[in-house]
Amino acid sequence: MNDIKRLDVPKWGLSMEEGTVTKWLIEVGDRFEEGQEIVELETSKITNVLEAPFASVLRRIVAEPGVTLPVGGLIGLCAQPSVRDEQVEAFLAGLDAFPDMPPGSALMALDKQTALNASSNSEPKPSDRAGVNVPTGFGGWRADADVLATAHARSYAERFDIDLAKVIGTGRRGRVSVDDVRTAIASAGGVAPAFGKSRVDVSHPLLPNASLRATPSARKLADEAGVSLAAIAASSGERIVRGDVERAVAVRSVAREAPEKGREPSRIVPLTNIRRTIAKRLQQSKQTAPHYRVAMNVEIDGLLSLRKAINAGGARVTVNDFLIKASSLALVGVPEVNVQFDGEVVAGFEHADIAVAVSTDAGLIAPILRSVDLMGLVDISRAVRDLSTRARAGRLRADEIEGGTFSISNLGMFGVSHFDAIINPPQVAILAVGRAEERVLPGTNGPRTASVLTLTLSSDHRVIDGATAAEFLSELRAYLETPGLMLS
Amino acid sequence: MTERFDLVVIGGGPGGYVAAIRSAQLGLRTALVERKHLGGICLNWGCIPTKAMLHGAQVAHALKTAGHFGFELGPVQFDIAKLVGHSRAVANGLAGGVEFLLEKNGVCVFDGEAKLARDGLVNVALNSGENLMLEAEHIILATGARPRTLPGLQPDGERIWTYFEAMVPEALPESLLVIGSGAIGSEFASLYSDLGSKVTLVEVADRVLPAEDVDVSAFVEKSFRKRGIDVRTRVKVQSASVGSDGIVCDLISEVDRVETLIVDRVILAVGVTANIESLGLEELGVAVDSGFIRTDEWGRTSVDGIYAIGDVAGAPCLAHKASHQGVACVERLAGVPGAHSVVHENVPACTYCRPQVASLGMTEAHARQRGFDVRVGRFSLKHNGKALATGEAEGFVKVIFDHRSGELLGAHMVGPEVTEMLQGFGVAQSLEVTAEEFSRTMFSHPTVSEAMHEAVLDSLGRALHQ
Repeated sequence: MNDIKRLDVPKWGLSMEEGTVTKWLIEVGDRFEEGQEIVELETSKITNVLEAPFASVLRRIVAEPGVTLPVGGLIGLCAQPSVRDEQVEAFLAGLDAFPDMPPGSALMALDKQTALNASSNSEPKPSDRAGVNVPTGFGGWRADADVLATAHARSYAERFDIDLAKVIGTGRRGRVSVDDVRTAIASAGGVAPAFGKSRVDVSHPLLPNASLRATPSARKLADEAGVSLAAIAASSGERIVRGDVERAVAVRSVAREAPEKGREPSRIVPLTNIRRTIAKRLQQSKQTAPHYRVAMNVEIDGLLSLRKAINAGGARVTVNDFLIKASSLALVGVPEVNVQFDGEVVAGFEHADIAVAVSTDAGLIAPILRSVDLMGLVDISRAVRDLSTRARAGRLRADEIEGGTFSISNLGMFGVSHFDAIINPPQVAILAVGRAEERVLPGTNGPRTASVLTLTLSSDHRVIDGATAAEFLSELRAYLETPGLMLS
Repeated sequence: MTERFDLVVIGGGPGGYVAAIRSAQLGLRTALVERKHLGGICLNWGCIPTKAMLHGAQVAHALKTAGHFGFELGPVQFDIAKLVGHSRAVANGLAGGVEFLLEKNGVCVFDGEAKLARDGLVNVALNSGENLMLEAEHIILATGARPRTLPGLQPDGERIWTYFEAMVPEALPESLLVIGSGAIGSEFASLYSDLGSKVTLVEVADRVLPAEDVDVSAFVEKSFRKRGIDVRTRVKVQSASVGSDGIVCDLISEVDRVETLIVDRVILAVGVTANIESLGLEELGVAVDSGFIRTDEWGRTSVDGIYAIGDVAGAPCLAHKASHQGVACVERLAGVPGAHSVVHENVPACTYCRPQVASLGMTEAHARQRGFDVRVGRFSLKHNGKALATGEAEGFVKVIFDHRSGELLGAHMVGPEVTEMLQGFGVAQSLEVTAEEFSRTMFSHPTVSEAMHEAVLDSLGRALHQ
């Protein structure tokens, strides 16, 4: 058994495209049995453990925790102790020489000899992917390198495995730009494509344009458009001219827009940091906190007329402001809900800090109003307007979005009648508010109409039981239906 | 259909459009409603087109004094329509520029008339005839002002003018009565006098340019008289009626002496009145003080979420004040660190009559009245080489410093292009420069600005050239 075996990212579901290694459960040198749990992987939906598809010894970890690879991507190499370390390394080097070889099967075995042959046949190229040639001195992307660089330069360097520390930055305070990286690579005799544009060309190799005959203008245009000169035929004479490149660019864009290729995404937008954080938090919440929902209808005619009276004096109190105030009082009244939970301890608070969901162009953000139970309605309305305006302008301070004991999400203005919300940890409950609707209700003297609002409370069952949630909602309803209580 | 915005600005003048641009820059969803002209009065009927007309007056003056520099000119023809054409072309070009800027910054512009409704709603009657509802977290009122009228003195759009008609004359009036000698009245008096009209300037106060320092008023009045402008102070115009051979105007002096004047045209320049009607202010309870919307230093009105900037929020009714208030109001809303509000006393003011007038801060009388231990410095342009060389040595610079802190309390200037020079004092004041530091600043020679340096030296008792 001298085989070297691959451990690859498995395909756990139809929609699974990639996996991130979160934790290795065994170390290099450990022997493992078939079916043993060896590594934790996270997908866009779940975190799961990979069970060993065979018995062997882990010899080399290729993907450290935090590394994301497509399905079929190599995460480790295994072999019996009789296989020497050098052979494992040579196997790995052989794979590097043919980066497109691996996928297709979740598990793939090559015998040692094939691997060694592959390794010796390939010329030593530090980094050679799709026509990119990074000179030896510049190789080696390090995510943790302490280099001031633009976000584009970072992603560029990561993609082409370039060590940013080797590049001299020309930006403000020595910041490294994509141009700096390309200049450094080019001056060392390497080839690096234009940033961004080359994404569309990964399907056909981008060969070093320098070796082809083309006019300077054609060369510049091709470079800017991210088109490989090798894929362009010179229409007249020996040199590729500007018109040749323009035609190639035109053909390419027509091809890309053709409906036959409609399966391709029309746009690819990487997640912003705020969106990434939102995604991560909500995912964690939904996965770890056992959500359940309790809903209650509330009649708000009295509240609406009180609001009208208050606003006649120049205030602009909204129904949502009443909800915030009423929730704060209910939280103080039912302190079991006014808590934070970290999975171990329940922390209770004297005052209610309520997060108010605000939708911004950058995504949902929930700035927090502190000690709302101590604030008056008009102050609440001012504070909410201030926080939401500054949230949209991206000017909230870090301390304004941390913590809180409760959240309110209101989609009433979008015409939503009722909905469920996901708890924002470490909080344990969130109130989802729909639109106030005029409804016909049975009354003692025949049918009557009332403005009815549906409130849905999502609670974390680890901390809040159904009866407590119901008690909280009843308390909340009492304040909303007898709003004078809020003013006392 | 209701469109939601973080900020809706009502009025597209220098206050409103600047506020909207800043708001959009800060990432707020911003709409602007303008009923007529982007750029407002300033750009379409005020600051800019008058400057175009006044440049014509400057050319007329240059032609008149050409002989002094050796040019003997024959009879000169003047076609006022061409000057008006130039003025309109400049205004229209800039209005297009404002539209471009708003679009570039992503501001939604609605052409129509806005009215406030409850709960942050704004009803817009679009000029196209449709109706639109906008919903806004914040609303800035920047609706500006319009010429004030007096009882018995109703502009008729033909012979009794406001600045609108005075900006687009079809012919040069032979004789003209200008009522009111503030910035607008003084500019028109100067303009039409230079173009060749016989001008009478009437002021109810005891001096022309009554908001300026007394030395400025006295100097300009003397200069106006020398040029042949008939200046009457402490005089009221009781009535103006259109008669067969002109407009018959009854002037009353303080001692009740009545004089009748017959003129071709009358310009009413007795201040402005805020555009607060039909905005729905009363229904919402937005407080108004003597015709202007009451605000605090950040433009907040008495109603939450409603703000007012510029002329509609009160004097001084100047474009640059409106723009600064707009920026201050928006930056405060968006939580920009270091946002600063407008200090009314530091608003610079310029009048583009001949000679020009430029000032900022307190007048000497005001500073003394406030109890400051003042040090005043003066310098006459008669001692300034550059002013003499260009034949425009008419004017002076006056500075007022607080002796205790060394702070610049006020600066007042009369003379050629002093409106361009004033910014030097503005920078000094905003940086809290003292007279000593100012005196150490090197002014290049020869410039009219050297008079600023000399005036400061004079306040320290160290003037070199007088």
